[in-house]
Amino acid sequence: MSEILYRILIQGGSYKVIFNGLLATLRISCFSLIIGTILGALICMLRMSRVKVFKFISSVYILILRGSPVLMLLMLMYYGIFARSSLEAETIAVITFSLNVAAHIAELLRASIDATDYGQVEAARTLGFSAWQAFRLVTLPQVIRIAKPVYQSTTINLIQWTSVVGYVSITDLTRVINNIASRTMQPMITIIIGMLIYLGLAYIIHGIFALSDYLQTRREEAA
Amino acid sequence: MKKFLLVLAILLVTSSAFADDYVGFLSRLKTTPDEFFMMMKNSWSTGGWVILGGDHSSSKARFYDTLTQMQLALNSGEIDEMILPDFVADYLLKINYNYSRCCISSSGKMGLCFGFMKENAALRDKWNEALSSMLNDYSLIGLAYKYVKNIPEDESYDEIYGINRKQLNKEKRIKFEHFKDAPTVKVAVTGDLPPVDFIGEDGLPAGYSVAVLAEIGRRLHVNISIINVNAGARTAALVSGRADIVFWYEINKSLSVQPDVPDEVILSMPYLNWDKFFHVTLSDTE
Repeated sequence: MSEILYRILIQGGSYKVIFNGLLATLRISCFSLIIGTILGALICMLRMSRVKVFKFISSVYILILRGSPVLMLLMLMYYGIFARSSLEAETIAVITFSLNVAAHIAELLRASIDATDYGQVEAARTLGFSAWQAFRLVTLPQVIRIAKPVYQSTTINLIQWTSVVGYVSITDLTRVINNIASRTMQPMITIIIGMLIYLGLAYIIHGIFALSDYLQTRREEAA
Repeated sequence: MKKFLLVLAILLVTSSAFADDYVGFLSRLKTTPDEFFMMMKNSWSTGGWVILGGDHSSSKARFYDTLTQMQLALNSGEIDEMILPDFVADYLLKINYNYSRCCISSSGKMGLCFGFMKENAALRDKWNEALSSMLNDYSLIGLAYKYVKNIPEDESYDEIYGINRKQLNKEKRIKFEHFKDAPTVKVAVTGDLPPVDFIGEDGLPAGYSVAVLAEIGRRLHVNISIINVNAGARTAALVSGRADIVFWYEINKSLSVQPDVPDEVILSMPYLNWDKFFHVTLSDTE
């Protein structure tokens, strides 16, 4: 057993290749999450605006992007829309995952805003707050609190979705694990190792969110 | 509730007792598993399918995109045998002792080829010229011996046979020459078919096909750029122009319709020939 593990993890610098794969997964996930969150907030704004055209466009966007498998979108982007462009595969993956996760985040934000009490905003406005101040000081803190748990699972989901980038020539963690499984002909053990690494990532994300919750509670208690 | 469980248990027992035998193949793009299996069996009439050992008259077939998936299916009992080209099975049996060979079959001469788009026929012809010259000066056979036949057993035998694995790996490392101002040919590899096509410990493409590519590049004075894609995206890479060449496509010389080759794809001459399939099963299933 130890010999097999040595062959999978260490021999010939295999761990470096696994680490590089892990970095690729993290790079794609991080950039997609950041861009996706900003884009998602914009789409949510359009979705909740009073202008019907904006509302319609954003609804259609959410419907298409949430309703289609991200692998299909990725293949379409890489082998179709950007086939002749000189953009790197990783950039195309970040664009695709940002577009996809933005649709999810837009819906998540909308649901969170709907869950807050609009009466509080009205009360704030009568007290002389501007619309922006009412949003920033009354609605936003509540939205963050409501959205946080779902945002956490969206983040973890995003990391797992990126495991399909092997289809567009990116050597991410899953691709590295598959390559090692093929070379060593030990699929079971290699896949378990891959799963443990993904599980570790999920727990790190969980830890980050738990830490931010803890800090927030402490801040509130101090105030 | 008890009755329900009893019926369920009986159903499970009977279904497993009368379950069909399944064999696994690597996916072919233009046919279904059972059609493909039938095609191979039928090629017997043209002197193709011959089998030594095992009764496969009622066996059904399943396709798997990668060898890894097929191995998992064998481990879980989803299939009873993996039918693999002899050189792939040889590699597997040498480095994983959980498997053994249960029988050998043949369905005529098979070959591994590089795939090109139809409009890329000029490149294909140049490729064929290089392959022919490699065949004539025996360098193709030399590479096949080095990368396909000469695979050492598990490391525990190294001392007995006096194998220096580091030295061997060093000798097998493939170097691509870079030519200034020369055109670049993009090749998609899957890394799923050792010892012909796999990704080495250093994360770089390795194996016989890659060695052949490096040699062709040297002879034609072109730069080779390799991308690693999943087996399922091979044809998409070729059609979209992300890759000029894809390996591998398999041909069966005794069949008029090639089950692994899409209509828009043309092939180079085969650079590896074989005529035997090894049926691999779990060692303890006796």
